[in-house]
Amino acid sequence: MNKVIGICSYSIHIFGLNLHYSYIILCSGRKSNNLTICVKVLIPINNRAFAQILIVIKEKYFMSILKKSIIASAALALPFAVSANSKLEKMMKDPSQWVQQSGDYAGHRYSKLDQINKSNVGSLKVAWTFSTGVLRGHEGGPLVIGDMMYVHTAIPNIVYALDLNDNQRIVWKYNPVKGGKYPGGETMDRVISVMCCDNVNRGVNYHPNGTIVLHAADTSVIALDAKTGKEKWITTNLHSGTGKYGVSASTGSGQPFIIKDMVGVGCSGAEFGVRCNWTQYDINSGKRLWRAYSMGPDKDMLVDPNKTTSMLKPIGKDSSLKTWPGDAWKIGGGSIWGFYGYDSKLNTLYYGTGNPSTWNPVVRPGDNKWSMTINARNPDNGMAKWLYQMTPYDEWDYDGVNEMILVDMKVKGKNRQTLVHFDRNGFAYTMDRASGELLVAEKYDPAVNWATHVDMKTGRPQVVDRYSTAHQGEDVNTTNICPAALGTKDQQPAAYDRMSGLFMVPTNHVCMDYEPFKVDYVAGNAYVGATLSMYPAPGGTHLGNFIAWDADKGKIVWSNPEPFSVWSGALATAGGITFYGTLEGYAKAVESKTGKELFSFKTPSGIIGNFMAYSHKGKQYVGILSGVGGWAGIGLAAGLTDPTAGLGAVGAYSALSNHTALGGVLTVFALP
Amino acid sequence: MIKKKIVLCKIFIMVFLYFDNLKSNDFPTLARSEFVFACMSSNASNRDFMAKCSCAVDEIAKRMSYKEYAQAEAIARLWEGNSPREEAFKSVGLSKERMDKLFRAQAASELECF
Repeated sequence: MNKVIGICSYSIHIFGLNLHYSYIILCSGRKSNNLTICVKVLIPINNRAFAQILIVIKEKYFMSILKKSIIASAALALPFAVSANSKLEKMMKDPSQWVQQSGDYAGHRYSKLDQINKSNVGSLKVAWTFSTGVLRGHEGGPLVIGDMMYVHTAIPNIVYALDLNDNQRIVWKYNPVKGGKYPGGETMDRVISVMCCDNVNRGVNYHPNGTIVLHAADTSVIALDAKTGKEKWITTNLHSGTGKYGVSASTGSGQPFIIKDMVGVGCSGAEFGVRCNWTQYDINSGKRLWRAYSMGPDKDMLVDPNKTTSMLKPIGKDSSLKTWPGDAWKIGGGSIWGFYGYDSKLNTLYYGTGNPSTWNPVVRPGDNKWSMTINARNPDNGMAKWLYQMTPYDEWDYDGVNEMILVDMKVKGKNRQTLVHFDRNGFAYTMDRASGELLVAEKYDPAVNWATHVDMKTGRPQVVDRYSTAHQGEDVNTTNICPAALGTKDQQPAAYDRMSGLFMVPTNHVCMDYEPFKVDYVAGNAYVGATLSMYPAPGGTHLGNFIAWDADKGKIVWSNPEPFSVWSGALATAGGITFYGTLEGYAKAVESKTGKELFSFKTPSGIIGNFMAYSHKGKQYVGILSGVGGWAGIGLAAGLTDPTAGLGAVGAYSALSNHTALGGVLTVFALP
Repeated sequence: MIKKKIVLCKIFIMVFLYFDNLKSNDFPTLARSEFVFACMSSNASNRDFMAKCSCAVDEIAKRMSYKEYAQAEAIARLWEGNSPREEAFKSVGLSKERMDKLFRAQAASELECF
C-alpha cells in the first residue's frame, strides 16, 4: 500500500542553477511485514503537467559538524533576579512606534492612530515599497523603533534596518547564512528540508538596550546591535541536523519574545519527532537561564505537582508521563511557534504548545500531556502556574500554538482579567488568565464538527466518534472532518478592537479527510504518519472568512467570506477600521463594527504577513509584508515560450534567478 | 496530414474558446505590464517578444476576468509551496476551475501570438 508520508521542499543544483523542487515521500509496506521502502519523488515547480518526475532513492544530507552541542536535558530552575524593564512597556504605549511583533505584550494588535479612519481610508495610497530580495512565504511584520524600521525575510532570514528619515535607505543588512551555512553549522539546504511549513519566519523583536533579536531557521538565537547590525552574541538553541534522538530537525520560525532582560524562544519540529520546549536566555550575555519541555518528567517541564494547576486543581505528580505509552514522550512534539503574551502585573508568560507526534494517534493512546496546551509561566524561573489542555489526545493536528490575547473585560457580567485564544481546533477560549479558569469555549466557525462542545466542568471537548481518527483506526480514511489540520485559524494572529470590544479574526473554512498510518521514527527525518486531503467546508466554495467575535458571549458578530483562507494577521485601529490581507494579495480595510469593506489594493504577492501601523513626522503609515511562494507572474508567463527557442523551463528558471528581488515586498500605505 | 490535424485542432480550440469568452477585459495596466515583463524575462528581452507577450496578455484578458486571473495567480503561487496551507488549495474545486480556465486562455494566447 502506497502512502505519502511527507511533503517538503528540496533544492538541487544543475549547471549552477539552484532549482527548487517539491518532493513527496512515498512509502510502500505494511506493519505486517517489517520491510518498508521509501522513495522520494521530486516535482519541479512550475511544471504544471507534473510530467517530469525524478526519483531519488537515497536521501543525501550533508552532515555538518556542530559548533556547539546542546544538551537536551532540563535546566535547573534557578530563581533569577532581574531588574524590571518598564522601558519597553512605555515604548509600546507610544503609537508612533511598533516595537514588538504584536504591538504590545497583550497581543492586541491595536493602533491608537486615527489619522487614517473610516471616512478617508478609501483614498489610501502606496507611500513606498521595499523588496526583500527573498522568495517564498513572508510571515510576521516589520518593527519601527524611533526613526528606524527593521524588516526580516523568509530563509535565509535576512534582517534590514531602514532609515525612515532618509527615503528608507538601508542602514545595515544582516544575513545569518554565511558560505551556505547557518551559525549552528547546518547548511541552508538541510534546514529548508526540515521546515515543516514553508521557509517562514515570524519576525524579529527589540530590547531597549539596543538589541534586535532574530530567531533563525536553524534555531540560532542571534542578538544584533540595533544601530550597526553587528552580532552581539549567537547561541544555537537546538539542533536542525540529524542523529540526535528527539532533538534533530528542530527549526526556528517563531518570534523571539522579550521579557525584562531576557529573550525566550520556542521551537518547531513536531512533524519530525522533536520534543519541543521554551528556552529563556539572558539578553546581555546569551546565557541560558531555563528550559521547560512541553512533555516529560515534572523536572523537565518545570511544573510543581502541588502548585501548578489545570482547571483550578493541582496537576499532581508525573502528570505528563502517565499520559504517554512508554517512552513515546521523548519524541512527543508539542512545538511552540505562535504569538505569545505577557502580563507584567501578574508576571506571567503565556504561550501554547503544538501537536503530539506522530500524526497517527493509534500509537500514542492517552491525553499526551502537555501537548495542545495553554501554558502560564513565571518568566523568571519558568515554573508553570497553570496549564490548560484544549485538545487532549490530538487526532487531527490541531496545534495549540495560536496567539494569546490578554484583555480585561466583563465576562458574564463580572470583571475579569482574561486570555482569549482562537484555537486551531475551532473553539475560541476565554480564560481567567490569573487563575486559569475556563470561562467560555465556543465554536468560531459553525462548520466545526469533530466535537459537539467543550464540557465546562472538565474542560474536555466532547469528541464525535464519526470524526475520531483514532476511533476509526489506522489505515482507515476518516472523512469530512471540520476543521482541516490547518485549523479554523492557524498562526495568523487576530486583533482586539478596543473601541468596539470585538476580536477581528482571520479564519480558514476548510475540512479534511485524514488517514493515519504507522511510521517509524528516525532522528532528523520526517515523522508524520497520516495522509490528508483538504477541501472547502460543505455548502460553499470559499476557503476562508474574516470574522468579528464577541469573546464574552462566544458569538460571531459579523463574517465576511473570502475565496481563500485568510492567512494574514489583522490590525485594528482607532480610526474605526481593521486591516487584513488575502492570499490573492489584496490589502483590505473594513469597518470594525460592521465588516463593510472600505479599501482594497492588490499588492505584488499573496499576503501572509501581519499588518502594523506607525507614524513618522506626524503622518500615519500602515505596513504589510506580502510574499507567498515564488513570483507567480513568471510562473504564469513562463509557460509561454517560443517553441523554436528551446529555452523551456530552464530559461524561465534562469530568468527567475535574475528577478528574485520580486519576491517579498513590504508595502507601506499613507493618505495622499 | 499532420498540418491538417493541427489546423483542425486550432479551429476546435478557437471555437471552444469563443464560447468560453467572458470578454470582461478588465486587467489593470500594471498587471499587463508585469505579465509582459515576466514573459520577456523568460524568453528574450527584445522588441519581438514585447509584441508577442503583449499580445498574449491581451488574449488572456479577453478570456478571463481580472478577479479570476488574480485567483489563478494565487493558486499558481501556492502550487510552488508544500506546507499544509498550500496543500489545502491543490485539491479544491476552485483551484482546478481557475487553473483550467487560465491554461485554456494561455493555450489560446499561444496559438494567437506565438
